[in-house]
Amino acid sequence: MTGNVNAAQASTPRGMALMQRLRAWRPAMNPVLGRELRSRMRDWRFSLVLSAYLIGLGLVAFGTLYIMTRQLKFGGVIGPDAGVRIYAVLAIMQLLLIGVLAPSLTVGTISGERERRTMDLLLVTRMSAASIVVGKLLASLAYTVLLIVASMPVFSLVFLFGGISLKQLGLTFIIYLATTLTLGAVGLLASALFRRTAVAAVAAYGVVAFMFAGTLAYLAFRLALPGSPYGPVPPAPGMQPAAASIPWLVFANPLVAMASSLPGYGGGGGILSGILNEIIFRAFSIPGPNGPMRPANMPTPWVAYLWISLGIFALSLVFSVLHLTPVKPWVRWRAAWRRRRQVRRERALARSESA
Amino acid sequence: MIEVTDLTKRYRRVIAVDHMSLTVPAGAIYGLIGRNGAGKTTTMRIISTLLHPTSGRVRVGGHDVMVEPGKVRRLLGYMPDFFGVYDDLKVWEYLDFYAATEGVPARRRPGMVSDLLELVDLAPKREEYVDSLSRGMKQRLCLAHTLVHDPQVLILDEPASGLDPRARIEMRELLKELRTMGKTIVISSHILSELADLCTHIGIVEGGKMVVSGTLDEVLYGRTRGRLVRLRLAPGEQTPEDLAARLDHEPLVRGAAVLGSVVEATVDADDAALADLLGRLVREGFPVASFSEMTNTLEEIFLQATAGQEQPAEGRESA
Repeated sequence: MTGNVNAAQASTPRGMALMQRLRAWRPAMNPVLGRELRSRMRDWRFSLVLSAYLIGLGLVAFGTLYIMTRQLKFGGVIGPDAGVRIYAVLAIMQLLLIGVLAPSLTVGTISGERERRTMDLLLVTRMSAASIVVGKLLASLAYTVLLIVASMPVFSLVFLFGGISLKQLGLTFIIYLATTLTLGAVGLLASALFRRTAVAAVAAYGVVAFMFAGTLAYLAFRLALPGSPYGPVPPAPGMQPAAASIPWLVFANPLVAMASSLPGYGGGGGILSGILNEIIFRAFSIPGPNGPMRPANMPTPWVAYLWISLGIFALSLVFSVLHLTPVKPWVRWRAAWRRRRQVRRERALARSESA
Repeated sequence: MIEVTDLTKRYRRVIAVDHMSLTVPAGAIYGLIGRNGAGKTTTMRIISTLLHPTSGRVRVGGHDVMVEPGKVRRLLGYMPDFFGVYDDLKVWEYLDFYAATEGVPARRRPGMVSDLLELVDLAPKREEYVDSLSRGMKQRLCLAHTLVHDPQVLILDEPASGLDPRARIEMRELLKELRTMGKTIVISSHILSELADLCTHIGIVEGGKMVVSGTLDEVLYGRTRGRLVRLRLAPGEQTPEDLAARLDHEPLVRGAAVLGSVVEATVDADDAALADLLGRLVREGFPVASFSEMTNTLEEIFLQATAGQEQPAEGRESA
């Protein structure tokens, strides 16, 4: 059989040889990734999701433009910041959509294999639990990246107005990527921990809701406490909020990260397209000589977010893999250690008997 | 090929496998018999590295399943009692996927998939979705998928369960073909007559313990208890009733009953004692025209081996 393949390779024209070389490259691809992609893209639901996604995003862009043109009639102006404003709305909207989609792409994968009773078949193969998990995560990433790329034309609207740099685009993409991977990993962990997909979905979306909304609620609570610059009890003149009073939890919020990455952040409230930018700026600002300013020891929220999401991502992955591994590493190590000890004892016994 | 020594698997309160030992030589077909929850599936899952034992040792091809699970997985193909399929894949894609998970290079996969489909008689279904296959076909497809990495050992948990008679016969033929390929197979089944046809070794499991084990011959004929012997006398002075009464005096005979012209006796004896009994009867003048042991079917052996344990003390969960 192998001989046949080789003969075929030798006799094929150049184009075919290229195809075969491409095919030979395929083993590098994670089989689980390949299967997931095949199933997902084959499913009619994918085109439905993609259409709904683009229509939703398009409507938001249209709505924003519509508001801006309506404002013209009431004496508003389309200023040089129009592009930035539309961009900000779209970027945050797309982030929300990713928040809804990313966990859904992974939350059914492991529990679904269990429910379908295909997990055991997969675990007895040469694939490690880690590569199964990574395959599933990459499949969800590919799906989201495809959506993001497909949404580019909607974003291109912004370039009619200008004001957005390539660097800005790259930063936005990095935040999307981090959010997709983190939420995907959270979905995977829920999927590994809970046997039933429905329960896993509730757990995963609970975490997502906390990251997106819960952290803001916490921020509101902190702001309402006396001592905060915007609380009911204003701080004594000249008093600086202590470093510890920065509500770190809020850095886990992807919306906060995105808002802080947009142009206009931290510049004294200049161009604020979203309410969010206003919120975070206020939340983290302290009264300064020229109005509110950022505490010096506070990191940029999106930088902090990238680190936090990296942590959540790594922990979720590790626990997913551990939970999936049928024979846990520590059980293996203990067994191996016991075997070695037994062998040593038997040798010692044999030696003492021969002596 | 497979050595299970003193294997115990304990869940919180339930002992699923209780100090079980078994040895499967290379090339053997080992049939595991036992009722639901007897510990068959647990044992098979431990051999397949899907569960870790509480104590005891399991080795496959010389590799400890606990210490070197990766090496064991390369040696073995596992087919669980209940399994699902990826219904959105085509038949060839299904096999191609599992071949990929076993690290078969992409170049070699198409040929191998064709060969395997040929083997399990699914070649015409190549381009169909797995979901559209009948249960028997899915079962055969699952068996095919265990073969993608050409393992030496196959662990098949109830491969014929839920199949109609025709599909079951096809499955059995397939297993016989695998036997000729020299695979070492551990198979569990409810349909005992099937196992008798197929297996070289039999192990009867009850309550997590190995009750009877050995080669098929040893299990079928090597017993010394409860053998059913049917005697018929040539017409003459001695009536079947006389023979029954005579047999009742024999210490080895548990009971004798007259069924028309035939006497049936249940005897606790090995072959030598049985021959001795026949010799004595003949010497005493009984015109024995026929003396034959009712060949014990695996069913009877199974029932006898597991008798007296009708109600397990605890409800055992099959895991």
